Amino acid sequence: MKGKRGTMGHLQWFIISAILLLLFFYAVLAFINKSAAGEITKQQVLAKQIALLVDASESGTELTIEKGNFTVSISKNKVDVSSKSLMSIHSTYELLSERELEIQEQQNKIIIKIFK
Amino acid sequence: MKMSKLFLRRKLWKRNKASRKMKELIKNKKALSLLGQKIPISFFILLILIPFILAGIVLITYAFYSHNIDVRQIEVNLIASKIANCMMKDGMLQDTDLLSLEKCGLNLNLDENYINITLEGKSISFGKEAYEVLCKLKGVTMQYKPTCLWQKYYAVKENSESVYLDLLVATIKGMP
Repeated sequence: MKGKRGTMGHLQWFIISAILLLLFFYAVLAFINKSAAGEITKQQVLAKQIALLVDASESGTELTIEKGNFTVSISKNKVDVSSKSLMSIHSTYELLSERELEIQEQQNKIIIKIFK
Repeated sequence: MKMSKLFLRRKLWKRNKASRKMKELIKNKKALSLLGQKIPISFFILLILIPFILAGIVLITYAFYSHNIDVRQIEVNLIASKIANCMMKDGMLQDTDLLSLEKCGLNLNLDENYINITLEGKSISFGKEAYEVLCKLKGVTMQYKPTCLWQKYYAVKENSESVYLDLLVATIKGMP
């Protein structure tokens, strides 16, 4: 009986540690894959491009930007770009000026209306 | 004094005993007890080592593949044009007594930027003044040297007198 309980304990411990290790491996592999594919750099470029475009635009401008597979949000004067995958890394960039904006998301486009 | 010596000796003895036990366990490939369950010592070694190895791989990958896109030259141009537009309307100089960055619609982190406006010998500054010194340094290579822009604008005052507006904008925004 004692031996059986010991085996069960080992099994539980093994399953938990194996799951944790697999999760950790998955996170690391996902990060390496994203880095090697240049996805993080693309995110950074998109965030900076949007921020600079919004800053340079006059009031009343409407910007249509191809965002690809990324999710774009602008809040508190920060442009935030993240990927739609499970292990997503955020790229943020601050706007230079205080703008009043409205964002509409379409399939792979984002429309930014600059009011002020 | 004697008591503290005794206490220290006892503490050392306990520590030595623990390390001896640990070494014995590793040598004999025995198991450690955690939460009342027996776990092989190799598990512990594996669990401690693997995260370190993976963290190393992540750091190397990040250092090798990450690139910082430098847009500071565009930023300083934007800031300069926004300030100039705020101070002048159609080339006519506006009231500059109550000049502020908020009034010009700018929302800048003053730890990362420096702006100096000189008009008729008067100078107004915003941000870290140290960047002005760094901007004037020539022939020095630095990792965090700010990007600087000196701009001169020609403006007309209300009494048709012409003046020059000198702007210095420096930024280190977006540096890793």
